[in-house]
Amino acid sequence: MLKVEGIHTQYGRIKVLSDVSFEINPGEIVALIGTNGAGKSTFLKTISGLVRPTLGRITFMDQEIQGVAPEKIVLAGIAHVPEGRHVFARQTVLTNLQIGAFIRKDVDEIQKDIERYFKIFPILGERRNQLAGTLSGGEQQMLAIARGLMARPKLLLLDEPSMGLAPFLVNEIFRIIGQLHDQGIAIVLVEQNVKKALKITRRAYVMELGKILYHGDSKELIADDRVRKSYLGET
Amino acid sequence: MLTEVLIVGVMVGAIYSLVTIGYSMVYGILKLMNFAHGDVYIFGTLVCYTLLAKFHLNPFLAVLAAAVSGGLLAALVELIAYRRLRAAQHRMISMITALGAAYVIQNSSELRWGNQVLSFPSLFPNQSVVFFGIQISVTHIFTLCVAVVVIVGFNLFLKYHKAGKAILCVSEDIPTSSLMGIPINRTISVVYFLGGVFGVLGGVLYSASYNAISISMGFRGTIIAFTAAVIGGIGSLGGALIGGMILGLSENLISVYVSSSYKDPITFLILISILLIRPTGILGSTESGKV
Ligand SMILES: Nc1ncnc2c1ncn2[C@@H]1O[C@H](COP(=O)(O)OP(=O)(O)OP(=O)(O)O)[C@@H](O)[C@H]1O
Ligand SMILES: [Mg+2]
Repeated sequence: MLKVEGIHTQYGRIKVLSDVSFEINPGEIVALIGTNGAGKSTFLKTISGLVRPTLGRITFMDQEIQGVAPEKIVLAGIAHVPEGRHVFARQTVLTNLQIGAFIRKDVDEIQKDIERYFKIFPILGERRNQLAGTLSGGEQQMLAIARGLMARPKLLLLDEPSMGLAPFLVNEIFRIIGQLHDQGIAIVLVEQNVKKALKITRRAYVMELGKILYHGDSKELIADDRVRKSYLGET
Repeated sequence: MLTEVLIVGVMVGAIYSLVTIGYSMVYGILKLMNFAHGDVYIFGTLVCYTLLAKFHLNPFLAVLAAAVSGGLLAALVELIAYRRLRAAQHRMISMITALGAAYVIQNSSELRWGNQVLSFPSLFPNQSVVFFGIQISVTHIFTLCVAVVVIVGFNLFLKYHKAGKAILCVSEDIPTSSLMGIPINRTISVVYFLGGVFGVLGGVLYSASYNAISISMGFRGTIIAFTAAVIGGIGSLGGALIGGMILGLSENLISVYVSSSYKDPITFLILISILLIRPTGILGSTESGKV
């Protein structure tokens, strides 16, 4: 459904991604792991249009989308939940969700979706009229995910959804990611929590210094010595 | 006497608020000092003057057409002078083009209308009514009403309309807004357009209540908008209102009770004192209250 072929991305003169290729099928969940500064967030931003690749091709459902403006890419069906949440702090929880559905016109269905996410994330329902900036980090993360889903994407890009969360919340977030996958949404999951990410996915890519080092079966990666050493902190 | 001065002060304050909204909103979104703001609204006000005084158009239509012309000019300035520079590293660069745009508009307007003071027709009947023994001019009442309706209406639009909420989100975080599918360029054009429209409304109301207009009011308008925005907290809609009110009231009180030549120095004294106490302005903060 999404095919990335040999993209290069740079910020000004700083080259970040070089010759990255990647693929994900409909309904699939794929992990992307790598150390800090490897270029994972830049990779997601290149897909969602926040940065343009200097070279390469990105195809989403038979449409070439490299260099297309982000607001058009959401329309095509890709939602990007950015690293660090980026909720609209001065807007209420409810407004954040409504803005997540900005591209949609089906008012009744939007309302239903909001109620649905209030069921999945009860704390958001309780705080619906509170400013998003006053939510705790974990609550903001849930809001950011729910807001991304409000666009009813076919492909969800999640950038470190469990960052900075207490262990029980991490489990909660992973449980919800599993649910979303069961609903048939394709998910690219960027995670520092490598063990959990490899357990929830079938396939994974490992990125270092802007290149894909290897990719393959998540189970095999968990067993791989290099992965165990570099990402699981085992010797 | 005092009551009348206060009433005029509130009216002028409401007009200043109108003029400040657009300026402050643009700053809220783009962090850009829009030097062309005053010149845009004087252009629109001069268009209104011509439509009223030369073509004797229906006042309502004249004001509407003038407001739209100012709005379009503001959006055009953004398109030509600012848009391509948005990604530029230094905000200084777009400030320089803003200054350039201001000069172009000011000088073209001067070619067309000259630089003398023109007599602007009244919009409302030249009468006054007596309320509890106080004489109030009809113009002041109407002017205040129009300003209040526009400001309240705009506030409701921002709070409850989808496009209004989109404006608020863009002013908070442009990249994330684009991820939501909000068309950034179009939203920014709308903000400039509305800023121009409100500015022209303020300019027309002001000129009509003093029956005077001249090109030089443009630069003054930019200064007023800047001062009011900074006093209230730049980027904040509530701040624009409070700043405009403080400025309008203080100017009138000072003119009447001290001397009109002390108007500007004392106004700036107020600005500096407020900034010393609250460097971000009355409602300004990095997190809350911004448009
Ligand atoms: N806007 C930017 N301008 C310049 N350089 C940037 C910018 N954003 C990221 N970089 C650089 O690009 C490289 C990759 O950054 P990126 O955020 O994609 O890494 P990451 O894999 O997501 O890291 P982390 O795990 O810490 O989130 C880093 O060296 C970073 O300093
Ligand atoms: Mg990252």
